Amino acid sequence: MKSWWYAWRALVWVTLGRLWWSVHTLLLLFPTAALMLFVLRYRERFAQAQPEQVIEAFAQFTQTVVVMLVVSFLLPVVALGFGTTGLGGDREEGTLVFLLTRPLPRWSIALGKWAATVPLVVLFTWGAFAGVCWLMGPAGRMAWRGYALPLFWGAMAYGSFFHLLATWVRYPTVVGVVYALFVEALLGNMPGVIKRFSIGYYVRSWIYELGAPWGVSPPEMFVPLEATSCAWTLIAITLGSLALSAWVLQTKEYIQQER
Amino acid sequence: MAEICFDQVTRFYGPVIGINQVSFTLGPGVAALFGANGAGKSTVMRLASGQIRPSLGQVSINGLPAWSTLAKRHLGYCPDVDRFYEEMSGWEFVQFMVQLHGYSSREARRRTEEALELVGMSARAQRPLATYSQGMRQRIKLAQALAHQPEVLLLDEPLAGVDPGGRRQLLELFAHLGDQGCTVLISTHMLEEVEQLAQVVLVLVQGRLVAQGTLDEIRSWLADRPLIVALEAEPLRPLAGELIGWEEVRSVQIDGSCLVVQVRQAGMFFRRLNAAAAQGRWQLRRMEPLDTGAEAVFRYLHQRS
Repeated sequence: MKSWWYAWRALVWVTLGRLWWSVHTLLLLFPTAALMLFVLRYRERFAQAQPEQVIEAFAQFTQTVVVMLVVSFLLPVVALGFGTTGLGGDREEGTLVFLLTRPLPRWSIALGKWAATVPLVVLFTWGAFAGVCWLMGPAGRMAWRGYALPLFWGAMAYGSFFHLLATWVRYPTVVGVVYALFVEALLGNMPGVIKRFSIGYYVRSWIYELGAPWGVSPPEMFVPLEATSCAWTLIAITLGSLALSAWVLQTKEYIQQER
Repeated sequence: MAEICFDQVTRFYGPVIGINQVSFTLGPGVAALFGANGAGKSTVMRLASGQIRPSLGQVSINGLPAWSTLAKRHLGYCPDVDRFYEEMSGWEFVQFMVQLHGYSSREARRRTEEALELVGMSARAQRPLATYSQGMRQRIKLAQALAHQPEVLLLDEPLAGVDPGGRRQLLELFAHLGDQGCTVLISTHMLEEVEQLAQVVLVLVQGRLVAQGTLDEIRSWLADRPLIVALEAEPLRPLAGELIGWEEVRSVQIDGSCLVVQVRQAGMFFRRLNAAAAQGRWQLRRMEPLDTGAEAVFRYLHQRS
């Protein structure tokens, strides 16, 4: 008996396996390991901290590690690494033709690739963040409890956006790197409303609001949005990118370029 | 009934025309799509396999638009590009492709085994694809196209890189599939590869379908085509004088020791020349058609169309 579900499940499973056992995973382990080594050194500052100083350690850990290293660096890198290769890998390797000539609706191919890619981005980011928080000790555990949700939606939004790039443009990795450098790193740190074009802005804003009761404050010139708006924006980016990628794959022709 | 139908199909790539007003209908059996590089064969294959849409006209598989998901249920496609998930074994690759047709794991395994057996790859299917020769990779591509037993099979240069023994085996397989009621369209630029089994030949020249028929029909058209022939004979001038009076001859030119004859209908000319040579009025030493290249043949078919 034939079933769309069998086909879709096979697509997700194979894509997941190919992504996980790829050179990308290995490459992403390097910055993750570097981050953990950094935290191992960083926590020494608070080795003698008394219990009442945990809050202060938490605030500093939020600024230095969570915002600057996890949200602004690791998260976009992981999303770029996995997000652009789920479908982009098939485009670049020329194997997309095998998928597009199967009796699977094209939109469901986009959905299947998304279902393999984005959870991997979330799990990898969460895993790295959990490791970092565990290494940090009590302040880290506070950070995990507080920031797991914004990080989840940040990973979903970034992963979905890079997945959209993979369906849309011929060289998603190149465009993704340009986006990360120009929009996230440059525009995302500029004063004024222009930073709202960056996904990272919403994750950081959300984190700042969650951390505010414990003395976490945004840098000068950074005007955060309230957490609810950030959450809805990240959800909208996730769903919008997914819907748009499904529509692009459904309607776009992919003509194989000879190498 | 398994059927591929192109109805006045034109496809543009920006300002470039890929194929121009191509119409044909193919039923069960083996058909060959023949043309030089750049003639539009790959465009026809991409349209038929639903990878691209026609700019004008309609392409259908079993009455369904080729672009649609439903049409792809009836379709097996072996692309010409040599791309795979290199880290997979041949077996894993074919099984994945079968699963994408919606079969359960157990059924996909069974069909994978059958397909690999059919293309002679059972014993070597567990090796990673990256270690395969080109011929083996070609067989794996065929296996993934055949495994779900499609009614319409599109094979883009399926014999590229396959050794002579393997070619014979695969050609027998294609003929068998055609006999079983499958519509097999084989794209090739080497007609001799498939002439034994193709019941219909489609000839594409510069994006236009210039001939469609059995190989014998196309050969008979070619026999009646104009041709330039170089003749060396003794004595030369009387022969020139005789030839100029023939209805089949357009012009005769003496070029040193040979005659360059422009012929209107090659088949009739050669029959008459043979008969005249047999009478012994002159001795024919050499006869060489000068424009038998593919370009000249295509030009003729193009003008004829």
